[in-house]
Parts: sequence; C-alpha cells; structure tokens
Amino acid sequence: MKTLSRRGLFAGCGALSVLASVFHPARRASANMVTSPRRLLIFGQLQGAMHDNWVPTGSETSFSLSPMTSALEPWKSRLLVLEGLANKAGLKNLKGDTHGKALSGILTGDSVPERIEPILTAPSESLDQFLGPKIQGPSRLSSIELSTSYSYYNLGNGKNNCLSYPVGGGTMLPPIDMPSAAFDRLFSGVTGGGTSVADLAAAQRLRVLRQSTLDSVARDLTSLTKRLGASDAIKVQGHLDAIRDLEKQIAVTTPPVNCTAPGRPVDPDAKNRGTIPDAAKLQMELIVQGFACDITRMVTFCPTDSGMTSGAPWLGEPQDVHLISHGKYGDWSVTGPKVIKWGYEQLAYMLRRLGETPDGDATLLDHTLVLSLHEFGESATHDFVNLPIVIIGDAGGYLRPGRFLKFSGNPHNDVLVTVANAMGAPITKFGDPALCQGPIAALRA
Amino acid sequence: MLLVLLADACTGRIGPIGGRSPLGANGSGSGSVGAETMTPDAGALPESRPIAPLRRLSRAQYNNTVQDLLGNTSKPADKFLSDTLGAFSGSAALARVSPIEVDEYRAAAEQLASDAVQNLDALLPCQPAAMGDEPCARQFIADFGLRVYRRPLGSDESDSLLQTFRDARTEGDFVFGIQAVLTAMLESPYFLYRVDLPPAGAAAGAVVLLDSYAVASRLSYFLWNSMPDAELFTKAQAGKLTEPSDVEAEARRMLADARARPAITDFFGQWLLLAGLDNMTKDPTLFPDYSDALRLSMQTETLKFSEYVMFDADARLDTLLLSPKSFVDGALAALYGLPSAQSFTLVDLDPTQRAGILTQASLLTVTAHNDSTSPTRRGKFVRDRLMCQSPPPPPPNVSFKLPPPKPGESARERYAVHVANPSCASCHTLTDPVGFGFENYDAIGKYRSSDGGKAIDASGQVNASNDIDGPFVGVIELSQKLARSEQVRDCMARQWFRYAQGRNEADGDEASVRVALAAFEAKGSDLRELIVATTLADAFRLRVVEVSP
Repeated sequence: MKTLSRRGLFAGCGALSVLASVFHPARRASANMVTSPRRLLIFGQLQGAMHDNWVPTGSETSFSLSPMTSALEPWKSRLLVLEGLANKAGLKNLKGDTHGKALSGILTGDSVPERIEPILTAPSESLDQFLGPKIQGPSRLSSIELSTSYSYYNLGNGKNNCLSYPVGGGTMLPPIDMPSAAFDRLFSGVTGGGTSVADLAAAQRLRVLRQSTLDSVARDLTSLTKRLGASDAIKVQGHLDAIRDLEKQIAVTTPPVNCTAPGRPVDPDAKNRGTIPDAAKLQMELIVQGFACDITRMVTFCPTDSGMTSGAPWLGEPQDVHLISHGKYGDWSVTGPKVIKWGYEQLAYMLRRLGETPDGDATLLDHTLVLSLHEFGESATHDFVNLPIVIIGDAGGYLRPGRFLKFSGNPHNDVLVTVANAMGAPITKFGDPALCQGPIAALRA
Repeated sequence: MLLVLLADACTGRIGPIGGRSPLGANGSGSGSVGAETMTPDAGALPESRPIAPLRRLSRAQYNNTVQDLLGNTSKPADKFLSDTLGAFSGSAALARVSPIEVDEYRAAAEQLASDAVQNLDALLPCQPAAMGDEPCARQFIADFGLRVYRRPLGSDESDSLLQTFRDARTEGDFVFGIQAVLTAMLESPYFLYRVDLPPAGAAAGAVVLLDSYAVASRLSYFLWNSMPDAELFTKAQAGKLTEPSDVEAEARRMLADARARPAITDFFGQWLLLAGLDNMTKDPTLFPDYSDALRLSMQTETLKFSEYVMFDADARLDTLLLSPKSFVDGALAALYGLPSAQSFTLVDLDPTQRAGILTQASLLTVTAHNDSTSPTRRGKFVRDRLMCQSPPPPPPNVSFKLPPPKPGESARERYAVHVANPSCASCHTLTDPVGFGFENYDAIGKYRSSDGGKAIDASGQVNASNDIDGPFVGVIELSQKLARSEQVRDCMARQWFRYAQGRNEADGDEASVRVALAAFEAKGSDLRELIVATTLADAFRLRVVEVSP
C-alpha cells in the first residue's frame, strides 16, 4: 500500500495532531502513518457502444481518442482504454436471455446456466460487492449503488437497474434512483441526528433503542437461518449481514466532520425523462461528497437505465433508444453516437468533480480508481464481444495508464481480477473460474 | 445449431398437456395425506413435492398488514426501493434483501412503533400499573407477538424480546421498552418474510402438512394480501386448517369478504401486465389523445372489469374473454366511440368491436409500439399469458429493423420478413399470425377498419397449440377459440398457481395444477372455483421439509 495523503502526513506529525483529529476525530487516534482511502467507482453505461465510432486510433502509447469519447481527453494520461475483451461468461449460457446475461455477467464475470425469472439474476457476487467490505476501512457503508431512472427491465414495479449482485449470488441489488434517498443513505441513515446537547440525549436514547432492537432481530435471523434450506438460508444470511452492518454503524458515535455534508437534494420529477441529466448530476455530487466524507469507498453508478427505454429527450431523442439501436424508429448511426457520447460526457463530469475536490495532499481523483463498463459491445447487435472498457487511474502505482490496449476476444473476467488486485485483493479468479487466467500483466506498471 | 435450438425453444409445447389422460377432481390423492409422507395416485403423476421458499411481503402486503395490525394507514412501503412483485411467479426469487432495503425496514419499523405507542391503551392487553411492568411486557409480547409473527412465539423468541424490553428500559420508561419491543417485532424476519415453518419433528426430505397457522397466513396473503384476521387465528389456534374441507370453508368466506376484491384484482393487474403502461409512451404526433390521464383510465378499466367479472358477474372464463360490457369514463368513451360518460360506469360496448379483456385499450396499448401496432408483441401476449407458451426473446446479433414502411403497406406485409427468414420464423410463426388478428386496433386500442387507406385484414392463425389450431378473423373470434381451449384453462390454473405460490410450478407440483384444473373444468370454468381449488391443492397445504427443525 502506498502512502499518499496529506492526512497521513498530518497524522504523522505530532505538532499537527490536532488538525489530524479534525479530519478524523474518532478514527485517527494513533499518530501512525495513515494511508489515504483507496476508492473504486464503477461507472455502468447500460447499453453497448459502436465499436468503430468508439475505438481510439494510433498505437499503445500514442493514440487519439474517438470523437465519441473525446470528453475524456483531459484525463488521457490516466486512461487505460481496452479494446477486444468479451463477456464470455454471459455468452456461455445465453439461452435467449440477451439483456439478462449481459447485465448480470458484466460485473460478476459469471452467469446462471438457464434463462430464469427475474432475468437479472447472477450466481455469484459482483466485483463491487466483493471488494466493498475489503476496502471499507473505517467508512460507514461498504458500498452504495446508484442510478437515475426507471426501466422496463425492472423488478416488477417500474424501478431501475444497475450492475450489482449480492455476495453468494441472487437477484440484482436495486440501486437508489432518487437523489434524496441517496442522500439519506449516505448522510443520515442509522447514525443521523443533530449535535446539540438536547439532540445528543435523544441520540443516545435512539442508539439504545436501535441496539436493543437489532440484537433481537439478529437473534431471530440466526434462529431462522437454521430452519431453512441452503438457498433460503443464504437470503437470510444476507439480511443478517446487513443487520450486523447497521450495528457497526451505530457503534460509530461521532459523525464525520472532515467534509461539508451537502444539503438534502430536491428530486427532479422522475416521470419526466428530460430530468435524467439533472438527476445524474445530483447523484454524482453525492458520490463526490460521499467519498470526501469517507462515508463509503465503493460506488457503482449507472446514469441511465438499460438502453434509455423511454428516450433521451434532452438530446432531442424522444423515442425508445433501445429500440432505435435495434433499427426501429430512427437511424442508429445518428442517435447512437449522440447518446453514447453523452454517457462519456457524464463520466467526464464525474472525473472533473473528483479532480476538483481536495483529498489530503491531492484530489479525490488521485485516490480513486474508476472502471467504466458497457452492457454490450455493439449496441445495434447486442453482442458480447469487443466490450468498450476504460479504466481511469493508476491505483497507487499498480497500473500503468496512458495507454490503449488491444485484446483478441479474451474473457473480461481478468479485467475484474486486475481491478481487484489493484484495490489490494490478491485474487487470481473472479466469477467463472474457467474464464480467468489472473491479473493482466499488460495493464500493470 | 442456433436454428435448431430456437426451433426447440419455440415449438416445444408446455410439457404436461400433450397426451395426458384427464383426471378426476380427486386425482392427485389430495386429502389422503398423512403427517409424514404421501403416496402418489396410481396415475403417472409424480408425487406432490411442493417446495416452500421464503417470500418477502410485497409493498401492498406490508401496507395492508401494518394497517390491520396497528391501524396505521400511512402506507410506509410505498417509499421502499423495490417491490417483490406482489405475488406473481418471481416473488420467491426476490426474497433476497439488499442492505438498503434492510435499512428501509428499520426506518419504517421505528416510525410505526413510535406512532403506535402514542396510543398505548389500544396496543396493550394489560395495565402495567396493575400487574407490574415486566409481567405486562411479557403479556404484550405473547399476545401482540402472535399477530406480528402470525403464530405463537417460541420461548426463545419471547425471551429475546423481553431482553429488548429490559435493555430499552435502562434508558427510558415502560413505554420506551414497549416501543423497542414493537420495533424489534416489525424488523423481525418472521414479520417481513412469509415463513412456512414445518412442524416440529418433521424429517428432512419428508412431505408434510403445513400447520394451521401457516395455512392461515397462506390464505390471508393469497386472498386478502394481508395478515390473517381474528377468525383465521381462531381456526389456526384450534388446529382447524389442515383438512381440505376446513380450508375450503375459509377460502369461501374470505372470497365473499370485501378484502378479497383488491387482492384478487391485483392478480389481474399483474397477469395482464398493467404496470407496463406506467412507462408506455406514444408518438404524440400520431396519438395526440394519448395522455397520462388516458393511460390511467385504461388501467382502471381493466381493474374494474376484472373485479366486476370476478365478484359481480359469474366469474367465468368466457365472461372474462367475451363479455360485451366494460367500464368507461369520458376519455375511454371517446376512444371507444361511445356516448360520453362522466365517471366510470358499466356500459354495453359495440359487440362487433369489443369483447372481453383482449379488446381492452390497456392491453392493446401495452402490447403496441410507440408509433405502430406490433403483431409480434400482441401474439406473444396471448401465447405467454393465456396459453402458457413463452417464446424466448430474439437472439443477439439480430437487427429488429423492418423494411421501411411503403405507402399503403400493411403491418402484415412489413412483418413478412419474420417468416421469410428461417431463423426468425420458428418463433414468429407462433406470435405474428395470432397478432395479425388484432390489426383492427391501433397502437392505443382505437378501433379502425382501414389503415393507410386500405381495409384491415384481421385474419389470423393459431399454430402449435394443443386444441385450437386453425384460422380466425379478428380478436373476438380468437377470444372465442381461447374460451373453449383446454390449454387456456390449464394455463389459467398455472397462472393462479404461480400467483399463490410466488414461483413457477416445478415437477413436484403437477398434481396440484391438475387437481385445480379439474375442479375449474368441472365447475363450468368458474375462476372463483379455480381459486378455491388452488387453496385445496397439495402445493397450498403441504411442503417438502428441507431441514429438520
């Protein structure tokens, strides 16, 4: 692990220990060297790209970004642009389940053997759920999953989708689509409460109530687990883990004060598709604040639903973009570059905001690895090859960015393995073990 | 290779229908079950081995339950991040909870308990001043706990909640202790999930009768979308819900109760994909009349019609498929070309244009594209929802691009490419020829006799069915075919099974589907009778024991 932050320097310097405690009052009691949090942001673009419009030109170290991805130009030296990897895990068990296998396979590197309902089901966890607890450190939430919009590949109630699947597999973890709810999860939640003397007394009562309550709930969950078969027991175990997580959060008595908690955002009108860019921006601001306050170190964010099924009216495209990609309603060669470019502009906005936000002696961007993934390779054909993948950052010197690398149909699992290693998890396989060879040497520094 | 796979996927009929011999109403051996195992009937049916996976309360069930339990009408679950599909076939699979949802349950429980203790007298069965704090807390835990957990609490559970009471009591008064207990109960998995615990002593692998408390909960969530009422609890306490005759009496009582109306109507909303209208947009230049209000009216029509058929008419499948009446408001009256109506009223429709659910605007709209009809989607709807034959989605690497419309060209002509290309044809011959019969209705369900200056050809064809292959003209004739099809009746039995169980039928469920189907057929395709029969089937009253308790 590399020591990166000014926070670390402060903590190591006796004369400034008071300042250090301002940054982390309850957690940085010792004066030892402290490493800056290393964070991972997974940015899910829930549609394919258009390979020829997407791919850079030039060589490994001297390349030009395509117009579609040109918004990333300011960070070119931090990019690893990967061409030619394939979602072999999804392809392996396709069985007529294109979106299901693509969305469940991309971040798990795995797929269920049949088409099952609901289609957004994976046999094992996604990378963020695997890494979240490992990189959590003293932060409150092991991960958060965010999105903006409604979708018809939903959980039955018109809600949205993203890329995360629970430990041990199961149905997709629903992302939070409303910024106000994301705010509550990040900044209020179980430890919410004021700081005045009266508030502190109330907060103490609340803490006792929660602790005594969660103890009983945990006892019920434990007894229930023993009475269930394996497939149900794992569901209840997930519930119990979440309760244990809440208990841990209650135990953290001091709210973080090393950042400015934002105001609770006002949600844009979710029924108005034109507000998706506003919602995306609000969610991205919350991601920045969540990182800055060290509330979580693992974020998965999908700015739109799979294929923008209700259109992208802010780009002059009122029709179902997913169906346009299939050749209906319009000309994909016109709409495709527009909507995919917009996705990269959102990614660029995210990078810019991380880069503008101080974190120790550097910025959040310096201490965050970003993995950008698409649902498919080519949108128009919904295929699983030529996945457009971009990694941003060097993960404390583990990766050697500033390069454009070509692969020839290798499973993308090893990208997930490499990212896990970059985040400090020394694994050689992730997802379907038959599709893994280990960290990709070519990405390494 | 791909072609072969697809052909298999599409022409394969649903397994159990072809070539089986009809069973009598008692064919599955239902009712002759011992406490340990059951023996299969002499027929070729596999033994009933119903699995009973955990289910989480849906939003509607959570809201109804806290209303029945606490009188709280704030519908806290409306804010929850996701639903578990009410009850339909995916709900068991969706029982896995995410950490965010656990936090939502915590916040809702805290609020509900905090509100409830404001009126402590309504909550408590005892006076702490008279009998002492802890004895009263104990009685509250036993009495109220039974209603929250929907069964008597075990001593370990009572002790655990009493510990919660004591822990909270150190920081506050008696009321605070009760508040903590109630919060804990409302966060308990035994409240949030529907758990069908097998009886004590049952051996792993055995098929056993569910106890009366488990049956009471199954009945109440199936027929009322809520917790058991006092009468069900009384029956459960007396152990009076294991015999089919007892279950039948309760099912009939419950169906006659007003609470059954929204719960049974919920089946139709889910079965007919009404939620799909929530996100359905239409090209405003082609359909200027389409609006949020019209969309809502379409959903309301189908829900009101379903409720009417089930509770105010004869509940027969024919009526559902062929009734020339429906409910329209002003917006729908305009769409259907009827005299204006102020609010929803039951009216006679033009019997040459409309009959039953398949001609309702909701269904016609949700199965159409933004700018045009979709014979494929409409045909798929019939196959999937009414015939239980689900064509798979298109394979990858397929362009959905149809030839650009030529002036005067019909959908039928444009869709010809689906059957010209053999890799498309294996599935599209199932869907499109059925969907062509719907061409008299545009993408928002308005009747039309011509399209682009040409007369509509509404002739269609059913292929690869068990008993209704052949040509037809228009949806009404299609509905008549469907109404007399055993395959459709079988499919209805399967859909109700899925709704009741929250999962698809498996090998060990065939007897349950058959016995319900037999009763349905014996009672003139009366859907209320099908519902009652569903509660009497093995899958509703038995379970395989996974782990010896």
